[in-house]
Amino acid sequence: MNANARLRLELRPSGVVSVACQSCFLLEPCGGLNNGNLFLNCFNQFCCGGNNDCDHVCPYKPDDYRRRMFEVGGMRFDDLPALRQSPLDLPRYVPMVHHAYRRSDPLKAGVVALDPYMIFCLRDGKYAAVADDPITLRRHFKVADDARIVLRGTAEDRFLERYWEHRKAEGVAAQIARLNVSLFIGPNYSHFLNVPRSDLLYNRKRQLVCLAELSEAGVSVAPMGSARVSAGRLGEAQRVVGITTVFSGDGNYCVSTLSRAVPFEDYAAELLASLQNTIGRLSKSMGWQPKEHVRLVFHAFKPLKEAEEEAVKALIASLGDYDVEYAFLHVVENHPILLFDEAQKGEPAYDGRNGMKGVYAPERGRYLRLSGHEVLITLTGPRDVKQASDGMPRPVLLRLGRGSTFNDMTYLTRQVNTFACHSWRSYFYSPLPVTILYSELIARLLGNLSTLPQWNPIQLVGRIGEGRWFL
Amino acid sequence: MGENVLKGQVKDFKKGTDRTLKDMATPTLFDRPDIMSTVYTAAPVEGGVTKGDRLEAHAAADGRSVHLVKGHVVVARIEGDGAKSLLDALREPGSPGVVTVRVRKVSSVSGFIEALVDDGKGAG
Repeated sequence: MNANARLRLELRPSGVVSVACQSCFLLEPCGGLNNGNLFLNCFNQFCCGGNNDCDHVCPYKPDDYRRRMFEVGGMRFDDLPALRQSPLDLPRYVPMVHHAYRRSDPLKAGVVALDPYMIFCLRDGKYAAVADDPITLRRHFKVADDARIVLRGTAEDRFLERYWEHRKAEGVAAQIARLNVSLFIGPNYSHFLNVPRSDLLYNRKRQLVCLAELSEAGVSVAPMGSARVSAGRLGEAQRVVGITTVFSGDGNYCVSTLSRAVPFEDYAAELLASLQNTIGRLSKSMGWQPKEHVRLVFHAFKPLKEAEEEAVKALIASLGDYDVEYAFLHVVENHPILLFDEAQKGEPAYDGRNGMKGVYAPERGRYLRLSGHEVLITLTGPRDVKQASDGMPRPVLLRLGRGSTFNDMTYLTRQVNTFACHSWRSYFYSPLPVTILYSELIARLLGNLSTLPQWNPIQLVGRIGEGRWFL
Repeated sequence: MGENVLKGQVKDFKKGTDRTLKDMATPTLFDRPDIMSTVYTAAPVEGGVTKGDRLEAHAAADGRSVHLVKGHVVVARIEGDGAKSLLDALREPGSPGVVTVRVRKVSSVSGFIEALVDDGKGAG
């Protein structure tokens, strides 16, 4: 168990509130800490005693605390007005539109999500919306004039703080109300678990104050709750486990490796070490010769970040003797684009209702080039749909990473299609390339295995890891 | 003097002015003579309070008393009619719900505390 997992376990409510919480003035709004430490409260466990460089909201810094309390109107929650929430029928997937720069035509979606912090910006010291009326707003983001809009208030701290600073003086709630917004999801002011609860309560109150102001202006609102463990407000909260499967050019499954769980700042180094180890083993087992041409194609379920690309580039630089080219391919499952084949009448569903399945679904393997670096490919054809009620299958979007030196999208698309015809799990085609699917299977099994006592992922290193244990 | 320096000075001056205006616009309890001039008697809850200490007064959740807090620990409680005006001020909508008090006297026998709202001028 890594340190973060251990901390999460320690902070999990045990059901018994610490005795030390009984003397705390925040007991009533907080409810008390019940993480199993019966004689310690949050200040005993997480407070530095009021250091100047500490940025938590804490009564041990009385001047700062009073100022913060003035901002939120104290720690009372019973004086907040009821939040107004209108019924809203949302589809299962709402596309998030950040800007309109890459589209020539309006996005034809009934409901779209926008980032409120992209609507408001500081101009000449004024925090003002880019549009004054609903139609101008929709045209600014190139969405349909009649699209319903959900404002997603979750963002990085700097945007949230800017909103908090200007919202009252500039009447931001009234400005939002004028834009005919269907829902505003609350700003996610940080709820850290391992900080004094005064900080958490302050941030909770801030979100509720923002929502109350919006609600009062007539905007339907949704509070947003999440908590995370952090080494501090500016500390990185996540740890990453990288699961890599490696295939040779002829489609053979070679190996799966697992990078260690490390802090994010060490992630690039850890990824580099993991890749070096993997490529080293492959080069030996496949007998690579100096000056040989080697092509590395990285399929990833998420966009490759700079740290990951840098790790790969460092690896390639360290390989030395080989003529290496590489491509970073993001395999996007969730996107708003569908492909239709109007000539497709569907396949009989044989479900006893004489239904047809996969109507309008393009044949498996059809692909459409959207741009020089984006291709849509259908990996689930009408025959692969299980039953008529499953509806239209979605294509997979392939997006080439910017740092790639190999950029033949036709080759890469065919390769993805080949890998999706290849699964050892079934005689049928796979809806995803096995490069991604196997990693998902491994991740799911590792997640379940991690709940077992005495489990250690190191047990997978060796013969088991080279086999297809996850099928 | 360079233009950038002059611009920086203008910016600093504006920041200072803004800060002062903000401070002046911040409502306090100090404009309430009934609250400022009252000597509050608080019953001790925890020890460790000495004359001259600055404590924070918070309205208790039950709405009937005022807690005097040192750090996060409730060290004393102001109850009854004596707390009423202070309590009402602390519970006003939009009020920060906290004010600093300075300990004027601690009874050596009972441990009862006499405190005044601190106006930041060291009085009390």
